[in-house]
Amino acid sequence: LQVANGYYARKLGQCSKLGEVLDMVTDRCTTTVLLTYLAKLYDCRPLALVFCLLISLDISSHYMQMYSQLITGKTNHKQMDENAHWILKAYYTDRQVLFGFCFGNEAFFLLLYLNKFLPAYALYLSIPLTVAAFPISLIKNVINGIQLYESASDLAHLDAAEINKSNGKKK
Amino acid sequence: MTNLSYKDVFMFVPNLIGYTRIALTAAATYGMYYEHPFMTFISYAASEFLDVADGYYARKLGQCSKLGEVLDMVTDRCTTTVLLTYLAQLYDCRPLALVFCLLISLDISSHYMQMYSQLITGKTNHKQMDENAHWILKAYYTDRRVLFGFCFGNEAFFLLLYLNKFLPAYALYLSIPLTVAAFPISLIKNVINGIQLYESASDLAHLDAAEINKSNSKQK
Repeated sequence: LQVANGYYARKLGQCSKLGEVLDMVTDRCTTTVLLTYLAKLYDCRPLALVFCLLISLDISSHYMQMYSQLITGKTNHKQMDENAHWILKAYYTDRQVLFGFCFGNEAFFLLLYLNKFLPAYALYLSIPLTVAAFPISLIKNVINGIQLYESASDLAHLDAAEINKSNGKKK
Repeated sequence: MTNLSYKDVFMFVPNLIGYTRIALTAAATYGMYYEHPFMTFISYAASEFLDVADGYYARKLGQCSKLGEVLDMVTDRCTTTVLLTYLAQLYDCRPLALVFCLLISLDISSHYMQMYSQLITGKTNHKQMDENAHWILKAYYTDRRVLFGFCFGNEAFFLLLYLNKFLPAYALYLSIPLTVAAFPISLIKNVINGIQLYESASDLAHLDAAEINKSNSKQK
């Protein structure tokens, strides 16, 4: 349905900012509750900490990026794009690549959940799928981390520019 | 006065406090899963205390920054979420676990929606929307101490829920009444979160409708 809502927004001419935020918030909640349960399901303690880290990374990177995009949207956005990390540029260039990584990441977590409940014969299929999805999830979360840092940097650049501007006015 | 660079902003005192809060949250999370309740309590409480400090130093040292504002909000969301995540596991009763999941979702979504709505509509007639705001929200935001009291009471409630599983019997005679006292504060705070979520979504919908109408009339 997440694919469907974007499709229908464009098809019916019903794009809205409300829909955009609704989409983002639903993504964050679905990922968070699944990771919350995985932290309990995989009772091994170091793993639980990894899941908590992934929750925090997901929330904070998307939050930071959204804030940064909204605030700096008025300034020289094109220049910042050129300065962006090469990984981010590669990631955002092709929407299908972006979609593939997001899908693979979610699939990995969902498979981690399923593997605890599937009968033995089904595991012969699901475990290789899980192993295949793992590097996608890993890369996606590394990208989350880079995005978090880059968005924070954009905000810091803006802060510095604004402070310098108001200091310059005072002289 | 020398020109500030973005690195200087990263090094602002309130932002350094923010990074410390993140480290404390990590320590609290470790303490939760490795069952060191004292470590968890101290780390979590220190992080909440520093939440007051970073705003104070930002104003005092003239080091307010948008980065600091977002850092503060993100850290708040993460600390609350990891605690609620652990409570969902600690209180093994299934309906309760669903309540904790709901609270996590409500916390994330209401703050996200409010932030987005404030940033987007900040340029439009913000004052008019304030007048139309729900009376509960107006009461809540009027006095900063009221706001702070509710946030503090809410966090204290969850932290007490955690502690009550580990405290010796004699300490429970104090902590359980405190928990019961904090419960209505937490309840009200989360009801307010829900109202804020709806009101912010409405503000966005108002803006969407206005923009679409504007572009439709231009096309005629």
